[in-house]
Amino acid sequence: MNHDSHPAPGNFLTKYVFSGDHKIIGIQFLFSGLLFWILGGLLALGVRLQLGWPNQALNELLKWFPSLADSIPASWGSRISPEFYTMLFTMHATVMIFFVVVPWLGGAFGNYLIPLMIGAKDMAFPKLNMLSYWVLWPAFFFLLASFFVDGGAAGSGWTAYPTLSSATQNADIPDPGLDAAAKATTPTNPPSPTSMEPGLWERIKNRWNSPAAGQSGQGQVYWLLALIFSGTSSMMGSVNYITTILNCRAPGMTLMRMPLTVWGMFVTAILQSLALPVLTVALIMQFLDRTVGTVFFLPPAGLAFGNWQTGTGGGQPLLWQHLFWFYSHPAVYIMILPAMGMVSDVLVAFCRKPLFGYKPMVFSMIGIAGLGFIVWGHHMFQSGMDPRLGTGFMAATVLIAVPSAVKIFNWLATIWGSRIRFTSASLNALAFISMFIIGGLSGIYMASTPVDIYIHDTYFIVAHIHYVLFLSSMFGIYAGIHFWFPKMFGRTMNDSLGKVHFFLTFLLANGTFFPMHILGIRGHPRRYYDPTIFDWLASVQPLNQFVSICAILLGLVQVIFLANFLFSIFFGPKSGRNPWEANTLEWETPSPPGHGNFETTPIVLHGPYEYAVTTAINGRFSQTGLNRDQIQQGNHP
Amino acid sequence: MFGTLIHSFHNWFFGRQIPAGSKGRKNQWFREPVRFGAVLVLGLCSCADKEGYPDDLPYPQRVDLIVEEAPKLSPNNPSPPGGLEKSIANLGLVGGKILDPVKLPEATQTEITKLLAEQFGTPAQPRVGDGKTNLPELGKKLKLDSQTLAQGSVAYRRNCLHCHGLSGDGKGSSGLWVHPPPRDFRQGRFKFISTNPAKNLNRPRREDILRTIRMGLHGTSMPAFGILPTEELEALASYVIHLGIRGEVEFTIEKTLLKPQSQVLNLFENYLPDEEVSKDQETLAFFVPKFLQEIVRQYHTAESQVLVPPEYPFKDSELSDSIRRGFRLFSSQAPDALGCVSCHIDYGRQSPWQYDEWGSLNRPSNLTAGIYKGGRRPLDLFWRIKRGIPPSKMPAATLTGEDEGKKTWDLVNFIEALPFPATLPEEVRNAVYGSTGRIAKPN
Amino acid sequence: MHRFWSLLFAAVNMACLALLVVAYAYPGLGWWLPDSASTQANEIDSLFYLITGLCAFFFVATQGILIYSLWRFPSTAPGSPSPIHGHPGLEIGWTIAPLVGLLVITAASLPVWKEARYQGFPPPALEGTNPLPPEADQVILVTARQWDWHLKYATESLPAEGIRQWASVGNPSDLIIANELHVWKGAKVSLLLRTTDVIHSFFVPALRLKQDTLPGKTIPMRFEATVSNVRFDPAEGRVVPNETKASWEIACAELCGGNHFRMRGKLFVHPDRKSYDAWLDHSRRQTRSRSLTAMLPNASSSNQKEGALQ
Repeated sequence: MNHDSHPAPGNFLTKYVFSGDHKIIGIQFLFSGLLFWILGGLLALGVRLQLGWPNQALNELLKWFPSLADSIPASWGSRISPEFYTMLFTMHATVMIFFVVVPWLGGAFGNYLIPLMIGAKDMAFPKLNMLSYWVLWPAFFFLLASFFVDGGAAGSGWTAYPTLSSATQNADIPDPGLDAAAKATTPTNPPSPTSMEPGLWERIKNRWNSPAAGQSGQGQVYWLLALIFSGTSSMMGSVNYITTILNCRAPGMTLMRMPLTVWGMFVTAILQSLALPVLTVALIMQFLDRTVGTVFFLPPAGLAFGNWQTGTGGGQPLLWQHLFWFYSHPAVYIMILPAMGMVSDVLVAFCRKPLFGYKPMVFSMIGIAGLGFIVWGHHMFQSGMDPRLGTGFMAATVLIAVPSAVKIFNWLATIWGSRIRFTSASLNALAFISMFIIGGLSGIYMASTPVDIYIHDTYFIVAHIHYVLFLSSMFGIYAGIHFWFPKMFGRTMNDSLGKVHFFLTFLLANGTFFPMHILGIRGHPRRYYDPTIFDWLASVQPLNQFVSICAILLGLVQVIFLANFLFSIFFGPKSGRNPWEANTLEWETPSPPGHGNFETTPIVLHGPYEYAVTTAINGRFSQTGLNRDQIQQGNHP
Repeated sequence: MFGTLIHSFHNWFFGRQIPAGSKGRKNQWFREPVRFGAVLVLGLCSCADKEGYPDDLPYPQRVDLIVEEAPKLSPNNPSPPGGLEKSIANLGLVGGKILDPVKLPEATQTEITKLLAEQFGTPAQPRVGDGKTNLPELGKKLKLDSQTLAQGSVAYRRNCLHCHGLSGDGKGSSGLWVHPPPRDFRQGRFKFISTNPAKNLNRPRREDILRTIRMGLHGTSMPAFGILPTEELEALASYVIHLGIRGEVEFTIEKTLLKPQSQVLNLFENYLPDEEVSKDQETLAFFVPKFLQEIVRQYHTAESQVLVPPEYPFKDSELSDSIRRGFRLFSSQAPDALGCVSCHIDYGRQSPWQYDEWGSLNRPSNLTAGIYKGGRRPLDLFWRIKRGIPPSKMPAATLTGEDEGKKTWDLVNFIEALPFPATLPEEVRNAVYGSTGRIAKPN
Repeated sequence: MHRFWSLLFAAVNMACLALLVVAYAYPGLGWWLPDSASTQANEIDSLFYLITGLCAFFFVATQGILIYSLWRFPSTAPGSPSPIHGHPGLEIGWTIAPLVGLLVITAASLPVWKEARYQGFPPPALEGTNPLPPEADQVILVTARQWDWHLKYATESLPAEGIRQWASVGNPSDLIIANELHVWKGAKVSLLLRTTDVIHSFFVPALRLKQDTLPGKTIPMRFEATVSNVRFDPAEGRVVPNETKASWEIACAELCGGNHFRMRGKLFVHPDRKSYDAWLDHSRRQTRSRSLTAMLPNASSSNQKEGALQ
């Protein structure tokens, strides 16, 4: 579109740092996601450490890792404190959702693949695209800085329900002693020493402190800022994706010839652009509640914490939940739909067989997205919302399971009668399907309102969300990285190591998350620091320990992936243009593609999944109709 | 070095031969990650979930400020959440007196730490006394034997540590942010006690501590632990007393020695006036066991010094009159009345903030809310009135005369009825809630 | 080697299924649903098993097809992949099949949800001065705070102006105790849930009861216990466990700060109203007592020696 106004970059800075090239931006998202993935994983291990051995003093661990002593001080018994624990799971979820999965799927793969797959030279708005990455940096700053403020990083859950997250005094609280002293002094008798008077920044920070919990204070403010920036970034990305997909497709690339990856990104972008403003508004409202004393989420009578009273309010804590879930339920689909598309593409390339039911796959994606807007209330069945609303949300939620089931069946039919090559990429894609079945089925329990009464906020939910987000989305991401790595870096990842990593991850991830279903069925509430104080949970503590051991091993196993990834960038065997013999447009470019992507504008003649074609020379039609040799030589007509 | 690392990894990774350094150096790359993994996995899998503190963890030495004297004035608001420590540091500016224990000579600090460790052990093996004095007998009666204390330490670590902290300083991770702050046990002072004031004993009975643990302190963040097993509660009470005694010994010594020109002799003069000390006995090593013995003796005495309430004198039909008399005692400034309203302004609805002995802020209870920190039973109210709350500013009621008991019960009846406008006689109701029938804010 | 992956998928899925089966088949492990002690609990459990049955069917069918395909169709298998693009009949079939299953679940859920939640909604008794709902045998006000539950029991008949007044002001004779829910078997219990600070969630696993408390709102909740686990022993003056030896706990299920896990309470279901009344009367006399001797030996405890129940 306006690619001509976007010249090829000249120097290092414009080429690799402040680049408008969608491929560089995609890789930037990929790498920053990778760093936060490590951080989020370590936070999760902290959670499991506490839950597996809730009464264990960690003095032995401290001898090996003395740097932990600040977080687990001896004066608090050399153990993880309840506040530190709430911080661990809150920041784990925040990092993984907003700084890993969303940037990876939308930012990294979306940026990298959309223009390549639709035959465009670049994104419609390269500058906006660059901005969408750099707006993430303030978010990184606030997120990381929040670990170092008074009271620690946010600890009111990634859902940040008021009034735990939003309670403040709503007034500037001077130090009581100094305030009284100032009143007692006369102009001739000034208070001394005046240097004890707190500075402006100190007073602002004090004002953010919360009587509800230490982490609900300054850490929560930083958390809100981080999320506002990260939301802005996603918003810019999604606007760009929609425009690019609608306007920049190559000749012949009709909507119904787009690969499912692009469809996934497209539907996701629409979801994001409609839902994110609501979350942003909610975040700003909570930010105002915390900082300037509005009372959007404070009930009329105010609150009492011990003998501390907040001021009177006039708002409603439930409002936050509606606004939050209006975004955050679609966010679940934002974190799975692109992965579904990617998995379809990966699967088909290794099955060597057309995708079964292309149109139903597309329509089910659209159906999931459409229904996704009217099911947010199923997170709130027990929240005190009118139960009659619950009935409606149950009906919508039950309906949304149908398109998901359709997708599963179509994948299965694609595999049926195919000839699968087992590579790291295809195995991860297959694992996505298998695990998404479990994640989908466990979701039905929550859709049924009466069962949700019991299951709500137990480990069953934790199991479900991890089956969908870890065992599905992350396997989709692993598949995508293995699959598109040659295109991104011109080299292939080590397949044996990839298989070892897949084997161990598949085993350990199931060992980590499946027993959580049992914990949930027993009624183990989530976000518990020490479940052993309950008699009825004593019987599942061995399971908790098993889960923790699996989780720690799972964390270690990811080192294999990380090493494979990093070393293959520099030392992996060189790959040609199309190492997987796939049909979609990105494989017709050099690996990695140069600025402007395509040597000549591709003309699309076929759909993306023309495999097992007996009349074609290679048994397939690429989308442009070029054969293997023509593509390898870059020999475009 | 880095090059070798990459080469050796490359060899192993891609199975290609690239010349590298010696064989010994070739294998070094995996040492660190493998050690990391082995420590994490083996360390965690092999360790059972051990209850209780690690054996080598000592009680921390006191480094936070000592409030020698709290200011008299009433600020407009309590300290902001998490702001207690800063607020205490500022007390000197508003008429309070604070002392910094870190300013003691280092040798003295070391000696105090050593003596305390001798007498009180560690969190994992707490004890009271080093076994040389005649404490065992009194200690056993107070359930301060090391077995109960060890049990209490485990229960404390599980239930109390997060607010009250390792040494009972009230600065646990959760405790920093709640208001009022959790009790700092280290002054050996407790608010809600039921001993006879005539004996001049500001000591709690075990039963007082147990009541607080069982029922919690409504109106503060102290939860109720009543559903814990009885013996665990008993052990907790013992451990709290242990922390109280340990802290009090430390607090007393530091407070005295921090004063200008003070010496160990002042400790004996102030706290053990009956003790004959020779010159060579003027040491902390001699003082600590003696003082410890004296404190334990006081705790023991308190057990038998319960303030017994007089028999309840009224029939049900006399309740209204009793409430009227209680109302007068509460609100009148006449010499024969108590004038409680001068602190519980507007029946506590507009009470001013005041400093307590620990330098934290509290205010006289809002009696129309029906929330009583020290318990809601008539007996509890009786003890609060007759005993006062010595560490905060609440004085013991100075009722005299032969109908003293009757007057106290009048006051109890009035306070009990105060949150329930419907049960108050009309003129009392009008005086408290106004003729519009304004009711207390629901809570 | 290609068979290995098929076997891996089979093994992992079967291990998952086996864990569920073991947890269900060996109740002694304590890895399955806890005791169920209310009418609602039994209905929710039935629904849980219905969903589990349907899910198990779909699970076995879909994973079976997947594993079989991996076994049967690796790239090394003879022949070439089939060029099929889709099949409208199949698509319609597998859209309708799950839909039917899901509609069955919805249909089964609706009456249970209605039973559990619609009663008392919209809450008539709280918005005006309406009297107590006539069908309730017992009204208990639960006030959550960081970090315990305060339960207020009415010891005399509630004032005519309704429970709104009682909930906000109450009577001097009300019994207020922390963390202990006492009801009797068969009583229609009406709970009023409140909070003074943040959102909590009143969770009683044995009753399959869970409801958030919202700041600024009073939320009504109903249940009827069907099994009793204690009786009041007048001779000992305390509640003692009966032959079930069951100990049922109350938990908080909505994050309410660092000590969220600390909000442990206990549920005591008396066999009949008589036992409950005896307990209530005893507790009230204890808490209202004005003489020290009457209180001994449990001088400080309104809630008896609960420790004996451990």
